[in-house]
Amino acid sequence: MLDKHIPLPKKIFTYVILIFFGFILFAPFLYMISIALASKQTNALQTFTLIPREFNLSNFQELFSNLFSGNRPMGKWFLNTMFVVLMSIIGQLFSTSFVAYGFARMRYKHKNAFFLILLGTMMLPGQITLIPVFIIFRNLGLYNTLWPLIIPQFFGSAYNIFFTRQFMTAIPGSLYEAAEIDGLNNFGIYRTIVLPLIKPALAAITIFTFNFAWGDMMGPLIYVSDSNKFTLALGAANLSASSNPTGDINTSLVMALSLLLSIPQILVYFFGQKYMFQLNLGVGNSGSK
Amino acid sequence: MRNKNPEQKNGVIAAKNQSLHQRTKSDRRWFFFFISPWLVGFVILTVGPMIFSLFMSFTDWDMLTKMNFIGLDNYKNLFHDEIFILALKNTFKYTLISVPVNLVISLAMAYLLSFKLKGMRFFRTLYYLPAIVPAVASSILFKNILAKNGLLNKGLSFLGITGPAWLLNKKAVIYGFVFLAVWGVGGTMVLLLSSINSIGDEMYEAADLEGASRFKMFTSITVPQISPVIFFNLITGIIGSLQTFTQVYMITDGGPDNASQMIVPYLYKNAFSYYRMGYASAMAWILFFIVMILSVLVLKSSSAWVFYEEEMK
Repeated sequence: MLDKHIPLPKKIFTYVILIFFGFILFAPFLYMISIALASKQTNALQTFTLIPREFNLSNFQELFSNLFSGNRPMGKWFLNTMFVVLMSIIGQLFSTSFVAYGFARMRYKHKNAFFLILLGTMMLPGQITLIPVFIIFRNLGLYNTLWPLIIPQFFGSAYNIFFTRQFMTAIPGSLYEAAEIDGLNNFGIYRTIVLPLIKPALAAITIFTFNFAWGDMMGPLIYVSDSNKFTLALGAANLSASSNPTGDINTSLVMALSLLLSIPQILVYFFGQKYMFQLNLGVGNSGSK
Repeated sequence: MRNKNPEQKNGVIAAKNQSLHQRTKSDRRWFFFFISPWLVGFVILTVGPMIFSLFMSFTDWDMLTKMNFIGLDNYKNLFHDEIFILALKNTFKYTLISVPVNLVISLAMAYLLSFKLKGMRFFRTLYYLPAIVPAVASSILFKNILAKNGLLNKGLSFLGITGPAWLLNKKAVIYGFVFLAVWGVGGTMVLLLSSINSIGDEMYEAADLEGASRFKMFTSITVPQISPVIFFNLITGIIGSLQTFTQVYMITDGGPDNASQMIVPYLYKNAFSYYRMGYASAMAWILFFIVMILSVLVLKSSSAWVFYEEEMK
């Protein structure tokens, strides 16, 4: 934008609007913290305030009290979640980079047709395959395990393949030719030349997969029934459903867990934002092509 | 003279053809070698299941008793299922309100954030933060914000407005979900912002020389330039909100009295609570056609309003 001469009143006006919207968007966070720190009495009366008035850590203590036993084994939930997250990331990194390389560099006359099919699957509502895939995994004896959440990640995702391919096509062709002269075959080129050069794309795949696997609720809801096998997101959903203002599981306890559930994603955002913005830009530009 | 030694020449061409043939054959092998993870997944987790789903939608399968072929009965019954009709209406209403509201607000925010003023990084982060909260957590939070004495009504009472009990009021409940969607506006905003920032200064400078106002520059330079990204967000926004699940499941479970029931939560309920797999599969196919028809309509209309640079050349 052209901003050489924004007059002072306009500057002030802009800041006022920015702060006003910023406050509205931030208020829910403040409310979340306030509820998580509220006492049992406040819960019974449901008189939460926007600005935290109490500083009651008992909800967090309660969450961390019985990590590996009881009705809400948070420690187990965390380990289950991390298992799904790590396996999903490994699966996506391997399969996505592999497939993207095929679409970026290999020659085949019907390649574009295959690529169009790949793009087409992005528009496909996931519900169309939800029930049959559930039946497949159930017949494989994988119901009530975490594997149905992990296995599909080893087949790549269309969106990740799409932007990783964009990234690979930007690698100069002379690098490939040099590698071919050195006698590397296609797999050797993929492993020694391409993989090191697409680190930003791999970082972005890691972030996107982390966010998906960490926050996904519908998957665990469908495949997991035993509370020892819950992920954190499903555990939070379950606690929320059984909460009651005056009961053992109250709003504050659920909110404390929601806060804990949100923090890792916020941290990942702060550490990974340079990669995400790089790719956001990539998506933005690809729209204009 | 030219055909002095036809045998030899043909021999060379044949050899060339053969090596070319082998080359393409090997290229083809490598191509399939690399795309095999996706291709295998596509066949066993997409195509196969789609065929099975279509087949199931013509049966009354409940996973327990024998599967009976019942033709189009599931589809006929769906259009007499009052809850399904309501779920369709609610999903459309939610999409029709939340997607445009989201786009307009995110465009306004992205425009403000594109000014080169101090502290913009801070505001960008602040505006984006709600978009990275997991849906489970934001749903739990909004269950409280939208309560009768929750944060939203407290805020409204400052303006002298008495808000309804958003989650218990049949007319208000969809708007409650719109508030939650608008809170996550940062996801769209960052995409628009990065494309606004990538517009070169030259066009603005030229417009400035001609004495165009800022508003005029916004409507006749910024918006047309980023229209492909607006279009991208419109499509993904529509597809995404037609598939709303977590929010409804967690906040109201479709209530009160199915006033916030939507397609996917109702599909989930039929499949995994009542085990009506055939019926739920028919629902999934209706959703599939709705998504396809809307996507095609938006795509067709896009040539009228989306500005592509290539067309200028």
